[in-house]
Amino acid sequence: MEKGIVLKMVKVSKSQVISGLFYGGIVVLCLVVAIFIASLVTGVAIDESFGTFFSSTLGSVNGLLEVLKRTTPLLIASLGVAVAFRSGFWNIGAEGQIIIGSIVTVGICLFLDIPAYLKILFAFIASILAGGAYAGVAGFLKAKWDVNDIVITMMLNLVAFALLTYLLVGPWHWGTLYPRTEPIPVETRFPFIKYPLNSTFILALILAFFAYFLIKKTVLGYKMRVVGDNPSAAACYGINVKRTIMLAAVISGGICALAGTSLVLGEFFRLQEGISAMYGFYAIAVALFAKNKPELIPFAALLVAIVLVGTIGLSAAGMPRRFGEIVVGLLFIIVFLPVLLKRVKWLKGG
Amino acid sequence: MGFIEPISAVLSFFPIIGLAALGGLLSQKSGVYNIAIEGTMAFGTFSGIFAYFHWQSLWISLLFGFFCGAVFGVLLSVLSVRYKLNQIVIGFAIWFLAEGLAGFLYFVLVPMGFSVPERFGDIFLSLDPIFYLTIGLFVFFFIFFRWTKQGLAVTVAGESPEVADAAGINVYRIRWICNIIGAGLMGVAGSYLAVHILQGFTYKMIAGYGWVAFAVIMFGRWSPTGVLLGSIFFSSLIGIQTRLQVAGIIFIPPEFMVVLPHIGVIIALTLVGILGKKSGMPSALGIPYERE
Repeated sequence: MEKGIVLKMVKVSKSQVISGLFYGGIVVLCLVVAIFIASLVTGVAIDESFGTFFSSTLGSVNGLLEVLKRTTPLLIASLGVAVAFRSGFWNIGAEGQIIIGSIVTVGICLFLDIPAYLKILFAFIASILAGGAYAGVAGFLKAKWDVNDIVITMMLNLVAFALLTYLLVGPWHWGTLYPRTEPIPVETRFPFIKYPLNSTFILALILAFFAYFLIKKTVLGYKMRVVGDNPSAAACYGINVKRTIMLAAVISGGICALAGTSLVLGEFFRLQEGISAMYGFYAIAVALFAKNKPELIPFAALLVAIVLVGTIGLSAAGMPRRFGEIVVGLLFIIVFLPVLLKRVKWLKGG
Repeated sequence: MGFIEPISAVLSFFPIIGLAALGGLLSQKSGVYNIAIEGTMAFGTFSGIFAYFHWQSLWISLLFGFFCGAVFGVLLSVLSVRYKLNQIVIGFAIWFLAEGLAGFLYFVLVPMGFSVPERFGDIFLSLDPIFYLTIGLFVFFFIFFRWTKQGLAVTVAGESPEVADAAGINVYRIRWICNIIGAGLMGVAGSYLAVHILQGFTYKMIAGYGWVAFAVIMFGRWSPTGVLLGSIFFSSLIGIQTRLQVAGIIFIPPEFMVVLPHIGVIIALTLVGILGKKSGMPSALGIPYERE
């Protein structure tokens, strides 16, 4: 049913369907070739690696649920990243903002003495505010003094990593061995749809509609798109470019932080080392693969989640974990394939 | 000589940041963003260890690192110079690809836990030859950009490629060469980090050094002198941080000591942004050149 709404809202044309199929075909081809070469190199039997990849992702109910579970934070973070990219703000700090969101959420769930529903409400509000402020620093610096956003957001990632490690081995440490905190109270946890898929997945879908609405249907979204496409033209139209960039940064950071909230409330129920699992970096790939279009992002997120889950399955069969990153890197280049093909032809034709 | 030891220890990270930043500077001077410094360095670390495993020579490791890094320079050139794709997006792609390949190939080609049993010996003031080599390269590029015809050609290709083209300079060829040599230097930086400092390979071991190098280029306002000063400053921050941790002198939680250089980058770039009205950024940086 939800799919029907998407189709009605987006108004899919025939050429879009064809290009979608084209991309889908290329992606499958790329995956097949990558797995083929990787199994040849690592010496894993080819039928075994294909079988493992399929059965650990789409080929079984558990695999499918696992894919959707990983889609949840990835989708949320990608939406946040796309909002920023669309406005010409290179927010590669999603990873850090996810961590900030998860820290704030755990802090509220563990240490505030209020009813559970208030904890959840506060966790959401505080995560959005904290993540927004965290990205807002970079947005402010860019808008005010033209300080490079890529560098600042990346550095803020590393600072967030350090803060997380500090909390986990320091004041928030719980138990004996692992760097992790106490689990959050049972009442604050989101219910599972079917284990391991949590109901935070629905939240991610709602956010996808929200991001679509924001970018496509609001004045602010229109301003952000114009600023992203052509800042000097935007200034001519009387759009306050600096304010728009800052707003985009704050909104983007807020959405990314919600990915952290969903990880805590729907998956880990505590803070632990590596909770963000590189989702923030893969989100960059998802956003760019979907050309920052909110209507395409859910599909791209699903695709990358399949790659990630499949890779974990493959690593159990004896293939290095890093295989996923290679495929994601290839996905980036696939985005440009139509342009690439056109240019190659154009150059040959003279 | 008692005071030279700590100073040289603090400077031990200089070749890494310096070489990587110099490589990035070369690309950017010619008008191409290479934001895959981190990834190229990661691949350099793999190739350094791989080469040492096979040929047991530190110098061959560095050389091999140069060639492996250069491969990614070729990839960058093909996609962003030849086919004029978005340089930032391609940079991200190469970052992922190179890091993934480094981890993957290490797993396949080098036995687990292989470590390098030697390192470069000190030649002067307890600093190793690569330190002086890096300083020498900075001097070379200073002279290159200031006084040679070729250096001027690179600068013009980055400032206004149309003018360069009109003057009979092949903008594409310049950008190709700069990307390849630049990425090669990043590979050397990674290789040096792997064989000399860490003496082994661990995942994620670049730990943001590539991004610091990227920041250093902006901090240095795209001039070799500025980048040299920036490299010394930021690599000292890294060195001091490591040194203090080793010595057990800790005035803030050790987890935060690690981000000392990164917070330094944020503050320094902000200050440069506030103060520096006259930015030295090449005007055509990031814009693919389309020949009329």
